[in-house]
Amino acid sequence: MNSETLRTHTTLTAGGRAPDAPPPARRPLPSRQSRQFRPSRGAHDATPGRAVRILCATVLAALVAYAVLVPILFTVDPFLVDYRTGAQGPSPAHPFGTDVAGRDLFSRSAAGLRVSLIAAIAGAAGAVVIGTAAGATCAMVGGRFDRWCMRGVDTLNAVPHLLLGIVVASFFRGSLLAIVMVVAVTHWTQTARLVRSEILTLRAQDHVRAAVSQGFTRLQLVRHLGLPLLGGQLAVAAGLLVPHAVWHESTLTFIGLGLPPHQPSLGSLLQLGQEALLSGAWWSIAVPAGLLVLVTVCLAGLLRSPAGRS
Amino acid sequence: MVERRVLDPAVSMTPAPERAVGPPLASPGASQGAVRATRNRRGRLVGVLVGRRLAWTVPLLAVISLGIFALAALSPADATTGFLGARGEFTPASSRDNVEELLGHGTWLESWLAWAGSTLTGDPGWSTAYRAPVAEIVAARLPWTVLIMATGVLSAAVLSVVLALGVALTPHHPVSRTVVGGLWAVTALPSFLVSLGLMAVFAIGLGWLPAGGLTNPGADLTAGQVATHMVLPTAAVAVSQVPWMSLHLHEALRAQLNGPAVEAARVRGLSEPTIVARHALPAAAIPVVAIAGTRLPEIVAGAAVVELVLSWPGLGQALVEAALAQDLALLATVGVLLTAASLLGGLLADVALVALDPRTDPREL
Repeated sequence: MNSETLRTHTTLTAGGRAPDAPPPARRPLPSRQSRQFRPSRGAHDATPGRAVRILCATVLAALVAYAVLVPILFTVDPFLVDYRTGAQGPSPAHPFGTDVAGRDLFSRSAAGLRVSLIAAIAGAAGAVVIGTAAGATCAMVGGRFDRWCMRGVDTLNAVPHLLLGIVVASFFRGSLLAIVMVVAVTHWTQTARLVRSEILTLRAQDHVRAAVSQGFTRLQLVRHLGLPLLGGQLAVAAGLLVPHAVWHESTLTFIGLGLPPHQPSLGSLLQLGQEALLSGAWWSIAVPAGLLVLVTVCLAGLLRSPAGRS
Repeated sequence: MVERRVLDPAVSMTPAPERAVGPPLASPGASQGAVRATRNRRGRLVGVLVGRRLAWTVPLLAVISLGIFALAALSPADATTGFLGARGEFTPASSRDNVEELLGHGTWLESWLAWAGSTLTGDPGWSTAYRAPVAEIVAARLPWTVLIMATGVLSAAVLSVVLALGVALTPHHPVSRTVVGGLWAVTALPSFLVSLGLMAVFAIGLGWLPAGGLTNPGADLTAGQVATHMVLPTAAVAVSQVPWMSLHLHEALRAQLNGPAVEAARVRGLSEPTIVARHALPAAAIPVVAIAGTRLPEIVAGAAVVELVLSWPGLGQALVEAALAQDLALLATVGVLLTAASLLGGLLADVALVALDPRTDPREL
């Protein structure tokens, strides 16, 4: 935003409001061309509007509350098998219906969502930690080491993550930790690139060069000048990784390589739901599928960057 | 073209004797020669690019297969957990025997060397899950995977061009806004959910299409059978690819349609369809092709899951079956093959990028 447009804008809006009124909404000013031809937000708008963000945040909060509170407040055991009430549709006693073994899907979905979210957040956090360490190391060591590392990162990116996940998970069956590790080990590369490029641009700045001349070690530079500035970006990177991690967890469990079927997670619920779908029990797949979609759509809507999902 | 038109009078005005040594600067022969020289140089650079990538691919594949063998040796599963499952889930009794058999004749490094050696001579071993040679399984399944991946990506590309053009040309229409919003929502769907949704709606709900398999049970393998059965897997692959393709293409098209090149074309009086088809669309395709190269691994992995859900007899399904049955020889072979496919696809996308966009430098790819 250059100063001239700012001035025009101020003179245009100043007449309409009191001098001490808060500044207008901090939306970027439209360019002249777009002001002429696009009076309203067009379909092409790359960033979601405020209303969409608020909606997404509300839905996410509701989902988290559902995942956290239902296992505490709703006293139906998600593991309780009762074949007399098997494969029933939604009813007051079982709001989301029951599965083939008569287990209540309302409490099972909550437990499953909780497991999936915990696994996904842990995986995303692990990926960001690995990526930050790798990116900072590459940027600070530099030279040939850096070039080779980045080549390696490119090469790892070219390997299908999900296939890698399938192979690794197959040797550590039924372990949530293995899935978290798979997600962390395959998704750190983007964070590494981000951290590396940020630190490289930072290194050319005056205050950093002053610190170098004062004898800061490389570790101190990264610790005190690099990472504190990167906090916000790293949080967004982790947030954008969470939907991905939810997919990976649910896909691996759905395939049969994650948690065993009696343990609820979105993937195992969907796996049972696929079998139930063939017998017409649509609710047993609609609920976990809907939860999965809501989580990923809302996270993407909340954190969406114009460049698309990563 | 414009340049030459401007230059020609200038050339004719320069006195002839001084330029007699070489051909005139802008004569057709000279510019063709220059173009050919550039093309040759770019051709050589593309050759170097291909060679460099292939040189990287081989050790990478070796490292990946080595990693698979190392993981198999590290795996906490033994014969008991192979029977009962690591956490009490029930797995086929023979599953861990497969790994023990392949790993049992020495350290995992020796087993890997033996496997790699026999694979290089054309025999990647025996699949215990399918009770058949791995080479036979791969040969029988590879064409079906290629079929749905190729048709899926192609139909996704066609659909994306249509969608992106429609949205970019009518940005204010309510339908356009709905389409963009819908595409954003679809980007958040994992491919197994897309496959499940398509199956639930078109196979079970409406009953229009078969729910899975290559043919109806017991039916002969005919073109008609395959054509009806491949609709859902192809659609599932396409639906997972359309959102990012069309959103990126839409973004690029919008930039192009408001850009100086299209403005210049309008000033020259070209018709709007020509401008869109010959000027905006080719230029907008460049970033999409560049992104396609990095997206390819995801397409390959997504196709594997689609095959599993819709029981399409391809390599991805074999990979998952091998993983579930701990069939090490098949797992390593198919894993390496699918990785190689995505690496080669990425290379193809980069070569296409160099061919499409004269500004790209093959040395930087």
